[in-house]
Formats: sequence, structure tokens, C-alpha cells
Amino acid sequence: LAIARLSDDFFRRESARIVSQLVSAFGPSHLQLAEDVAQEAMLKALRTWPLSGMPENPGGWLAQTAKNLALDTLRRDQLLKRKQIDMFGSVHRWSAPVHERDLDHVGEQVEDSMLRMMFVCCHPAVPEHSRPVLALKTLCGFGTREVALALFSSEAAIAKRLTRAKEALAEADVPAELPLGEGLDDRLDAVLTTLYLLFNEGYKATGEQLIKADLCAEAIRLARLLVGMPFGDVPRAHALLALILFNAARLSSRTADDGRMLLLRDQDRSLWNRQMIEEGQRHLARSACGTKLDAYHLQAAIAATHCSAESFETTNWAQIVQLYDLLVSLEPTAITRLNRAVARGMQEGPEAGLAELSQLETANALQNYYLFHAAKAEFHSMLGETEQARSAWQRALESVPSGPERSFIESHLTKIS
Amino acid sequence: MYNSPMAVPTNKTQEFLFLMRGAQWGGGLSPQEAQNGLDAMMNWVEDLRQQGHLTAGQPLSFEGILVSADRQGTLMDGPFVETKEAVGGYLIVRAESLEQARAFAAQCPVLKYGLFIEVRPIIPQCSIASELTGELLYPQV
Repeated sequence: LAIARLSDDFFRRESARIVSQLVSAFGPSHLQLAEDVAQEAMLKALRTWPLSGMPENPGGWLAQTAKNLALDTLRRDQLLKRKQIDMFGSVHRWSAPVHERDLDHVGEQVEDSMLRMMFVCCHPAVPEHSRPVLALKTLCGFGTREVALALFSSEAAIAKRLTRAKEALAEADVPAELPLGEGLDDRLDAVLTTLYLLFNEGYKATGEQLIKADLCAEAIRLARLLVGMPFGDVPRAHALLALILFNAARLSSRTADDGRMLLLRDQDRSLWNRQMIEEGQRHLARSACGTKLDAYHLQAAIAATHCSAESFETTNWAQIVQLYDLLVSLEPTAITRLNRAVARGMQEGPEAGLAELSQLETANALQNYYLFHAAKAEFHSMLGETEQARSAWQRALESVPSGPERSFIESHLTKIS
Repeated sequence: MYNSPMAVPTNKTQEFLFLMRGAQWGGGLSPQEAQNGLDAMMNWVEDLRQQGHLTAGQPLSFEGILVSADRQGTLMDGPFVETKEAVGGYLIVRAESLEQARAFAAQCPVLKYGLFIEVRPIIPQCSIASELTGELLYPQV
């Protein structure tokens, strides 16, 4: 007898969905409440489903339970305070039982409210650096650790930013309704950053799986939605969508049949999704207007260069290095320079790559970044310098999180010894 | 409710009531931990069922009342059970001995999250008495 099994990310995805739904209904100042009841509903499921069997619609069950818990709390608060008259309206609306028909449409409603809530989380009252943190943590179901890894920060720092962001939202008493048109311009960049990080997390997942397809698909869906709206139809948003599409087109070729991770060099290019690449090219073309060159433009152009190469050997590395030069002048971060060093190594040879990497030796951000050490290891291997390669792989292994990327590095170490 | 067609009651087995206690168990779990806990817990119950040990099971709502009377006979009610120990549900498990029932309960994968299980033998009805009652209530034609 097979028992019903939930997908691996079920709770995390459903909690995120519930939080964004409740916050759209009750307003961002109730973010904490929404998170608390989402958690409580999840625990209630944990405590009852094993004894009663799985409900037919687990997602609907969770949503309804969280909603009831939220309403209970709000009613209790109302009795205590007898204020916040506007709340009565929302409580009323939400008091109606969730019908089967509504549940069918929950997906659609959330799809819409997801993007809306991203704009709410990126409200100007929230400190700039905290906006994507808030959105990723509360709306996209990221753990503190995942956010920290995505932003090259520590868990403690992220937790602190999150607290500040929530306080700011509650203090400003931000309404769930969005201003129209121009009022959103100052939030767009933070929303784009959030989508970028959401896709990256799916693309280079920190968990056991290499690729979390649902995170990637969600980022694509939201980005497409965004460029279809008047305020999102701007060059840098098209560039971001193009970048995401180019990378997504290569997703299926990144893992071997046995789950191993494959490098660009070893990927079967016939598996690349031509349709996505074409869609990416259309958006890249549409991004080529206006007066401002954005980092997304350059990253999309780099990805496009990879996508248009027939084989790894015929990759136009000169063009890629040029694009990285521009990117470094725009964003002189250690990570960007690391990527340029790799591209230069491909164009001019491993010595050139190593020479540029050695200039980054003192960069703090890279000390514990496994890809920095992995790049060094690769170049040393290419030069036949086994000893240096081994110690670089060893350093990479010390800082890589568990999962397919770890096995990848381990397999290189075994090969060398 | 689990209807267990696979349960094979024999003379040697006896039923036990598993009271799942600890209303707040699992507090503070991350979504991933909760998910793992749920999977493990579902497997534990399903294993018991497949091996014919599970007769029934049901969660209980915590919003109940406790009815009692004081010395003067005045009725009182209220949710007076300490939540730490409140019963969140039950299973009825068939086992050969209290020792075996204990072993089943000890395998529950979420004990570490604060759930605890009270195992109580259900006193079986005396077979002669039940035959007699059966005859009295449903006289054979």
C-alpha cells in the first residue's frame, strides 16, 4: 500500500503561500501574525495527519487552518482594543468558508498576490538592504541560512536585518494596496534583486538537490508577469528576464542521469531549450534601449554568448572577457572579478587565469567561497600542477555546503589522489 | 479513521490504547524538520497498520471541556488539562504484551520533539460474560 507523500518542499512552499495571502488580506503590519499562524497550521498538520490520514487537499487544509487561526487571533485582539475598524471588513471577507471552488482558484490568486506582496516588502520604509531579505524569507520560503548564503552574509546579520525590516513595516503601517505607476519606481530595483536571487537559489540550490526547478519556474513566471505590466516594462527588467531565460534554458543539461553535476564543458548542448533561448534573445533585444547600462544587461549578454556557441571549444571567450571588463567597472566586487578571471583563463590560458586569481587572494568575500578555490584547482590541474590543485580542491571542500556540488569536489579530489 | 482489514486478531493479542500526549510538541520546528517529522510519523503509523497491529486511530481537538463537580455537587467545566500533557489523539494498537506495545511506542519517531505516549492495556471483556450478554441481548432464534 503506497501512502500519500508530499513533495519535499511542501511545507515551505505552502507556508510562503499562506503568508503572502494573509498579508495581502490583513496588511503588512500583520506579517508576524501571518508567519505565526502559518507555522502553527503546519505543526497542527504534523500532529494530526499521522493519526487521521492525509486530507484530500493538504494545501487547502493548511490554508483554511491558518486562516481560522488568524481570525481567532484578530477577533481576540479586537475585543481587547476595539479599534482598527478597517479590520472588520477584512475579517468579514475572510470569515466566509473556503469553498472547493475557491480552492481551485487559490493558485491564481496567489500568483497575482505574490508579485504584489514583493512590491509591498520592497516598500521604501524598509531599509534598502533588508528589502530582498524580507521578500525572500517571508514570501519565497527561504530559510535564514539560504538567504545568508545567497547574499554572502552571516545568518546572524540576516536575522538582524529581518527583524529591522519587520519593525519598519509595522511602524509605517504599510497598506497592502499598491500605489499606481510612478510610486512603484523606487521599489522596482529591490523586486528585481529578489527575482534574481530567487532564480539563483533554484539554479544553484543550497540543499541536497542541485536544481530546484520550482524556484526557477516561479522566478520566470513572476519576471514575465512583471515585464508585462506598465511599470515593469523597462530595459533592465527585460534584461533580467533574458538572463534568467538563458540560464533556465540550460538547466536540464546541468545534471547527469545519476544526479551528478556537469560543467558547461561536459553538457549536452542539444538538450538546451531553444525556445527559451529565443525568448531570451527577444527580451535582450527589447532591453537594448534607454540610456542606462545595467549589470543585468551585461550578465544577460554573457549568458547569450554561451547559449549561441555551438560547442564549448567555439565559445567566444574574447567577447565574454570584454563583457566582464564592463561588468567589473560597473560592479567592482570580488565575485565579478572572480568570474572575469575564469573567463580570462579560458581565453588566454590557465597562467593568465591564475595570475588574475592571485590578485584576489586577499579579498575577504572569497576566503570561504568554494568556487574561488575550485577555479584555482582547475587552472592548476590544466597546468599539470597536481600538488597545488589538490590543496586548492581541499580548500574548496572545506567551504562547500553539502549536496551535489560537494560530491563534485570530492570526486575531483579522489581523481587526483 | 483507520479501518484495518489486515488486522488479524488472535487469542494471543490484546488491545492497547496509545494516548498521544503533549499538545505543544514540535514547537519551533523549521518547515523542513516538520516535513521530515511528518514523513517519519506517517511511516511509523503505516508500518503498524500494514503489520496488522493498528485497529483504530484519530486525532482529538484541543478545544474541549472538562466536566466535574465540586463537593457541593456544583457542576464546573473548563479546559483545565495542562496543555503540556493534553491528549492530542489516540491509536488502538494490538500487541502480544505490554512489553511489545511499549516497544512499538518507543519506535515513534517524533518522541524527540516532545510528544509522549501513554500506553494503557484495554481490559478485555471476560469471554463467558460476553457470550452470556450476547445471548441475552440477541437471543438466537
